[in-house]
Amino acid sequence: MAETPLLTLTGITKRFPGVVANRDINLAIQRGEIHAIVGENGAGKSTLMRIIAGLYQPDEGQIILDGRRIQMRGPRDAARLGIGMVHQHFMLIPRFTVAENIVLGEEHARGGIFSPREAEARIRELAAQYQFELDPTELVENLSVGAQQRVELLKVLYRGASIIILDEPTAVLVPHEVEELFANLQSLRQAGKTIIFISHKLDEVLEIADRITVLRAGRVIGTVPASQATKEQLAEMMVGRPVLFHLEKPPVKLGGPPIGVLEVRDLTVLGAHRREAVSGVSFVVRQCEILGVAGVEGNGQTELVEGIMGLRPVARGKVILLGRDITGRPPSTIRNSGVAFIPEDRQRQGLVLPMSVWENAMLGYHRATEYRRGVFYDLGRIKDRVRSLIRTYDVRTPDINGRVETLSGGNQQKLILAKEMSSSPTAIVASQPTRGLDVGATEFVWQRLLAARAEGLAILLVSADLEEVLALSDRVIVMYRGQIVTEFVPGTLPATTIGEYMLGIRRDTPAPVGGEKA
Amino acid sequence: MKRRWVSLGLSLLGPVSALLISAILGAFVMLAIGKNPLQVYAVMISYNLGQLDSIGSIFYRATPLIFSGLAVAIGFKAGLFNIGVEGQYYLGAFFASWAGVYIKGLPAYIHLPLVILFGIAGGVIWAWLPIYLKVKRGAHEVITTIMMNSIASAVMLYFIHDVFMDQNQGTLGAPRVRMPPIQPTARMPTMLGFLHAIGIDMPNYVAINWFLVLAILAAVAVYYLLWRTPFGYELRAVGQNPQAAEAAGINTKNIQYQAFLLSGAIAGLVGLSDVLTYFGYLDIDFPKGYGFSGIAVALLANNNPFGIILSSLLFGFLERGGLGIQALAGVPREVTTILEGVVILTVVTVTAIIGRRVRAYERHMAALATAAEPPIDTQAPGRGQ
Amino acid sequence: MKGLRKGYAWAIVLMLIVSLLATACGQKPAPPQQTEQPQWKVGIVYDVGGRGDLSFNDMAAAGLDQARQEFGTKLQTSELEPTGTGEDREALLRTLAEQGYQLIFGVGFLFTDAIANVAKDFPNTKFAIIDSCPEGNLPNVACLQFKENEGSFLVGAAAALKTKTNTVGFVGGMQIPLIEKFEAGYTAGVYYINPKIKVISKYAGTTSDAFANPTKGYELATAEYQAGADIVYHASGKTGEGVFKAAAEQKKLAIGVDADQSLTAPEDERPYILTSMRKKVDVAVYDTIKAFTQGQFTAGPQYFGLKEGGVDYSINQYNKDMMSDIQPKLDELKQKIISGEIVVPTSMKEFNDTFKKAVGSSGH
Repeated sequence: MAETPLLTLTGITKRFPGVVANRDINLAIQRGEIHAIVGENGAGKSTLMRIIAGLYQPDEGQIILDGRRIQMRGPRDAARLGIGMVHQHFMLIPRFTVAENIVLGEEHARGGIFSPREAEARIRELAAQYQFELDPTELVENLSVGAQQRVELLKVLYRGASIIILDEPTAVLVPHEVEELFANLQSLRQAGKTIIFISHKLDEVLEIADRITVLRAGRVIGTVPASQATKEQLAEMMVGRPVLFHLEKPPVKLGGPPIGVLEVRDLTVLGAHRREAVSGVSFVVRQCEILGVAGVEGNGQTELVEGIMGLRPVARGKVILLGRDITGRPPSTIRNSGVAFIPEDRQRQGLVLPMSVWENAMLGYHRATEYRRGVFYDLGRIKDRVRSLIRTYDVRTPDINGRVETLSGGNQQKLILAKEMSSSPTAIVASQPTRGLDVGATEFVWQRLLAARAEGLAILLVSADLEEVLALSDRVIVMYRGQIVTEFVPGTLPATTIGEYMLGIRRDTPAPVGGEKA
Repeated sequence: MKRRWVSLGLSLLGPVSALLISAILGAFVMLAIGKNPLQVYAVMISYNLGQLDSIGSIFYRATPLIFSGLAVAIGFKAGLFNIGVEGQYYLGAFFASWAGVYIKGLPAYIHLPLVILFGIAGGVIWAWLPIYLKVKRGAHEVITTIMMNSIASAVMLYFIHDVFMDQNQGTLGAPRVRMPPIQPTARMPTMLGFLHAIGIDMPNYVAINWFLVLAILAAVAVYYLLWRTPFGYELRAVGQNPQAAEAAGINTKNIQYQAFLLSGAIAGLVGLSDVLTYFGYLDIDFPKGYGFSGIAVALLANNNPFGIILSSLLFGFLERGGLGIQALAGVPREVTTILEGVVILTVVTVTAIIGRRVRAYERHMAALATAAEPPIDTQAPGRGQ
Repeated sequence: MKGLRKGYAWAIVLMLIVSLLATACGQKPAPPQQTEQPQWKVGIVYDVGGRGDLSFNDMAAAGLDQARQEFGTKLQTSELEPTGTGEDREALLRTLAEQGYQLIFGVGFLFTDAIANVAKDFPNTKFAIIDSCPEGNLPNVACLQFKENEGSFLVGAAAALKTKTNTVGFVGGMQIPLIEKFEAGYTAGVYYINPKIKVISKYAGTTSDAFANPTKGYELATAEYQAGADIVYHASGKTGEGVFKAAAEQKKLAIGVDADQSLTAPEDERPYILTSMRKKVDVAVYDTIKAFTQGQFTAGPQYFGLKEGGVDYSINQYNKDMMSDIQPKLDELKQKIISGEIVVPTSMKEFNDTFKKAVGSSGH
């Protein structure tokens, strides 16, 4: 890499009141490479990208583009210099067509009249050039998430960008969309574009990037060529200590035959528009066991979990906890009989964001008499308990009276874990327990789930992250279109075969899963 | 502890700066009509704070607003927008008046509480239909309560004018459209005697009465209910995130049902201070609009019961001051109405803006405090280049 | 850029404050330019709506204006208007009394209790209330009440004499006994002339908004015209504007109220205003002030009927041709009322129970 870099950052520092987001960043981006920036949440990736995209001005340091020092006062300056950014959250107008969205703000008007035809032709041209599949006349609201992302990419290309920044582009995509995106990025690179790719998913980064720069706590830890990097090495650079990827999962010894704790029999649950989202699913989760549910998202996992927890009416079938039928009981009864629940969307289902940390720490268990003296809450006792709870679960918060929304995602999830697991449950239903968490928090959640398993709990783990399911589960079932298409023990099937089950290409004859009776 | 003071200071920052800004905006209104704002403000302050009767009047005016603000706030806390406080208190006032006129022969210590219960019942009954429709049929409470308000005012007038109109009015003037006078046993006494006993001698015409104490007690009760009981906890959880509340096993519909009826119950008390103390009868000139003022009161107080007491007093202060500057500084009535509007608008918007800033700041401070940065190991492996 | 903008914002705020202080300080209240101390202080508290309602409040204001013109700087006046809620009326009356106003008016029956309360606390201050009278014969309260039924009787007779369809209409404002008094007098007047003439009566509503709803007035009057009425009398304040509009559109006639409304109506509507039932609040207010300045304030109920010239029908340059043929008849009726030969009912109940029989038995 001896050629002069296209973009060089030297000594970039950016401070916000009370915090240094970037300190003394040195970074060189080569022409025509895919350069990944990785780091934990809060490492300063987004701030740095916003500086490159002209959204922030650095307090110190220089940005050199093509050998010339540049100063940008806003995204328009950046666009003029050929730098464009695709944000994690799309900025599209659903009611507009693809073409209208792309030209928005750049309408080439002739005699004051905007000509959609002309714009559409240009967009078709661009799309063909980079092999993007996209109809410019389609309304954005009809597009899949992956296609919307292509619109955002085209928007940037339409404005003539040669450096494209992508902020966590895969966070919103399902696996096959990730592949499409990567194919698009490859063709952009072949066309001579330079791509800066932000992520904290190490496998993806290793797959797509040419070089990888690791940030931690606002500083550059190092830049390595992807071909020479390993996942463990990158993780250690990100977190600052070695990270376990291969979890210790010792078989748990039981006195007798394992007892079935949570059983689902022929369960059918209706989803949106009264369509069957879960159709006749049966399985048993036994004590000391993690049963993983794998599958592409949207194949009935959400409805399965909500059906079990009493949040969605069950159309047919039974949910049985330790021999007791809990089908169709109100959620409070189900929770009180010993099922802890880690919902898939912690901000929408798991926490009441504007309420305080201590109040959230008792959500779902707030009627317990031990919290009360007479009719009123005993705040002293509650807060003492919460303090010890968050110490045990390493929830980092300056003040348990503060709003829970001020906590980071990882700490929010730890808080949910703390309250759910401390209620001495017999079973845990965990849905997407590590979604959006960084490496350190993910590791913590995994260890907690394994510890619960060792203590004898039955755990149902639903995750769209196949790797997670395989790493944690004793057995795995794969759901496709509301049905179980196979069951296997991790390590017995190659990844490609599992993928075929997930995509519905392959399926076993539906059979009751879990063998013996409860 | 220090943190608590800081956060108290931050929560007051909004209202206080809002008042300052609205004072400046109000000044421009007065300059526009050729009045000296400083002089007008001086008149307002000396009229309001320099006379005991004004102070009594401010408390008297605040009384219905406290009830109304509490009723609205309970709705807000449960995620319900009770615009129907207006209609609910009409009904409450009518029910109480009916009991005060036609239930006879009871001693005051039974009659008065009974009349108050009738007022509560009126509010609850009028709140019941909208929340029933919401929980069972999904009808939005804003629409239904607006409808119920119109019906309430028609119903009340029908009763006053066509059914229960006082037939024994004096022969001196044309008879007025009002119900017969409420019996003395159902009248709420003023606080003047008590105030005299503790050394405050208010003029005898001041209508400050024991509903003020009831309103303050109601605020304390609402505070404890919301922040110290499981029911209040569930109510707030439902209001702020119904999905999470449901996932946590809370019966959200039940909670909304109960919360709305409670809101209606408090709404039923709004009109009683005027009817049972000042007027002594229900007539067509019965004060209207407290239900809507209550929305502003609750917004300004950010739904905090103690804040509601303060913001009700502020509204009372502005209304009384409006009379003062009209009578003593020659500011036309229309302008005093504009000034009140300016204050309410500014206070509500500025409080919202500052509140957002304060929350962002708190989040930022929390992020700082938790970002316990591990020492950077510059010798980290893989330091390339 | 953002920081810069914030800077501007602060600079503007600062400038505003500075300029405000500057103006404020520069406007030191000028000492009152009064060369002679006013001899009398008269205050008036209007009802909601205040000056500019083209009706009741404006009439009272006209009386005050007349007194002001006559007495000049010897008369100091203050005009107030309640904001709406409970004790505002009383508080305003009281403030005027505390400031040493010697004669204070409350315009409208809603002041009844308020004026009684304040009058008891200020026995040396004189009060006057229009359209009502508090109980208890207060020695310092004058009650200025009008015999609207007598004036309405005359315009009712006029309508009966002029109708070609044998149907006439009435539009009231708020349905209260005070307005019913207008309706009763009007109906009686019609009946007296010809019992066969049909009277269609409608009210605009049951709240005080009914006095300020021209759209409603327009709808009601149009309906009455379409039902066959060719003359409609309104006693509905500002709502009556709609009645006139309907009359002009239908090319039918209307009768105004309170003021001589031919004079205040838009030019194109004037030809359709037959006459107006004048309720001379202005005269009552002016006379009360005048009497007060002469030390002849009279407490207690005072009735302004035809005899006292407190009510009347109006003749002006616009309607004198229309009215000339019936004027002798109206004046004859006026004399009969003044002499007591005709007793005009004050409510519909009285009209139905007493008046009809009396007219029947008198063989008229």
